Amino acid sequence: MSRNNVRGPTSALTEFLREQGISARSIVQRRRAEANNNAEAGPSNNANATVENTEDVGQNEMDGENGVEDPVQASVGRRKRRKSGYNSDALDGSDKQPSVSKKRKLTKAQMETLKAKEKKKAKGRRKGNDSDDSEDSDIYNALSKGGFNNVGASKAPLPGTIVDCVECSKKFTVTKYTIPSREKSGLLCHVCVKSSGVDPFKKTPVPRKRKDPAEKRKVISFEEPERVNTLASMCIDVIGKHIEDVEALGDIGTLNMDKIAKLIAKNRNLQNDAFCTLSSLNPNLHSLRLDFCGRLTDNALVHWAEHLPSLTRIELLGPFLVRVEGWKAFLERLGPQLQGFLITQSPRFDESCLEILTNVATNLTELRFSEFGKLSDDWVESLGKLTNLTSLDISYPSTSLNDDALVTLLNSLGSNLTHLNLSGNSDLSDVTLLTGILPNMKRLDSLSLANVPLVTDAGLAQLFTEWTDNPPLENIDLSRNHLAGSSALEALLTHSGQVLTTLNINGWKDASTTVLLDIGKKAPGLVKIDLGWCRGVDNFVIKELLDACGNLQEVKCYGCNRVTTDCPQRALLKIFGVEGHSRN
Amino acid sequence: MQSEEKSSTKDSDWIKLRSEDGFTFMITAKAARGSGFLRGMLESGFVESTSGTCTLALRAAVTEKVMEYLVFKAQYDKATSKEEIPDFQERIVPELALELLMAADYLET
Repeated sequence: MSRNNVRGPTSALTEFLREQGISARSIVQRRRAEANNNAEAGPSNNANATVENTEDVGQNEMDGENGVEDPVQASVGRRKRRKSGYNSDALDGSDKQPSVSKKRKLTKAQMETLKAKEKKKAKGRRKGNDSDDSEDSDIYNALSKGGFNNVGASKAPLPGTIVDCVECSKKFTVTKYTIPSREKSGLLCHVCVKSSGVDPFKKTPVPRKRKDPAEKRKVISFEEPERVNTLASMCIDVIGKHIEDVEALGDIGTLNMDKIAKLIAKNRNLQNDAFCTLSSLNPNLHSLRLDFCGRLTDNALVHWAEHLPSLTRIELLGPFLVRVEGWKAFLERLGPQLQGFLITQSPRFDESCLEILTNVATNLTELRFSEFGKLSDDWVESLGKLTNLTSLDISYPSTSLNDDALVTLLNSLGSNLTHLNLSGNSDLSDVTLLTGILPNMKRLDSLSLANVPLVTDAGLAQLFTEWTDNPPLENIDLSRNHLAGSSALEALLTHSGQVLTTLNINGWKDASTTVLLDIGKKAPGLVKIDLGWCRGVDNFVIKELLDACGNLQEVKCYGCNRVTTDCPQRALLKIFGVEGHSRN
Repeated sequence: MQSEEKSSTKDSDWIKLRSEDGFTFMITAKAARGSGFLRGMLESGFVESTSGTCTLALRAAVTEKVMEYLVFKAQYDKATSKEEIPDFQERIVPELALELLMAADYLET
């Protein structure tokens, strides 16, 4: 094949012919193309035909069907074509052919179209071989109309017909292995083909198929995705599909119903319709709590507003699809009777909704706006109108409230509050403690002020020391306030220790062991305590707790690396986070 | 799938499962391991693992469907992305779905 690129000296005529796109190669191809005419429409066709050919090789030589004969011709010609190329010898040889001399008589217009096609051909060649083929076939069809219809030899005869050999002029029968002459226009007899050194029976190599790039690439994925769903999830899907048609699911006992409800809820397959059904089936509902109700939408909320006439308390976790209109419709209808409105995670609830809530819901005692996207200092004024509130939770807003807003709010609401959660308002400082909480709060029993890192040890100590107006607290969560330490803890225990049931001082790294040892004695009623990351905690602190607190059920001491596996234990008491326990 | 009493082979290649209404099913240990419950049972060293027999508190119809799923899973679980996986879901009749769900939950399949 490499000899294709070698060019000897050429005559002026050869040069001219090449310029015109006339070559021995193109002539042979044209002849073949004429024979195939319609059969060879495109590159893919061509390839298919060749494949077919190899399969049919074993068939009868004298097979008269065109479908078999043509591809052979095509593939043989193809092979030859590649061999000849721009061989100067071959070009010279072609000059002698009458067909070429006829071609030279082409009209000017035809010449021009020929040129254009030659250009196209060159382009196509650059693109790739396949397109090259298709371009070729175009050219041949066009040419055949021009000058070659009369040339009898250009039409390949069917197998079985008797023709003259162009080399030795003997008559022979055309078979499917008959090959056209390389030099002259016409077919060669078997003897001449053999003497020319071409093996007529040689199988054409199956063209290498281009591999699909996707296949070629070897993808190694270490985590094969589960191809087969679990039976449970499939069952839930089936049940989900037929949820409208409860009869089809068979007879369900109440016990099973409970189990199934849990299973379905675990996979969160409840659609919006189900929420509507919920209100339709339970018209006397007083209190509604739904966790992870992410699919809840406006429709359901509006439906509830109309169908739950007795609803007084609603607690939702994650109703983030509910829009302003939904909230408004719900609050306008049910607001006056609502006593509890506890929502966690809503990025859409805005000031206009709050406006309606504060104007309508005058009986509200419990309010939770936890993890609200739009909660801001401007809301404080409206919130201040809800003077009946006893429980307020405005934890973890997107942007923290500031001290001034909080002090204003606590001035108006503080005296009634029994539960306050300001966790996650990271801008709050001692100012809120000392001018907001200290003077206003008289009835608080539960304070949550976690993740308020600006609060200091001294500030907390002062609050608990001077907060004599307020009875002792039952629940305190002051976790992750890393500035807090020994003096705050001491004041806290003195103030609230006697009634304290849950205490979370996670992250009080500076609290000293001495003070921590007193927790047990000063707070004997503890049920749950989180001492995580209090570095001062050791086995003796745990022992004191266990000795003094008879009701203790849960101790968390993650990150307390002085607590070892030797720490005391007790039946029915869970101690979480002992490092030694995890090491086995 | 009819009840036929076969003594389980020594190498416990086949596991015998008896439904609560007395039908017995034979299933390969490999397929049975598709269920967390049965896998645990086979590896536990309890009587079930030595005898290769287990009685389930399930109806025969449900047991049969579970077995069908386990075999299906064993066949297609390691299927490459090229292989076509038939849809098992359409083989679950809604009448059986609830019982099957509870069985599936129990057997951890």
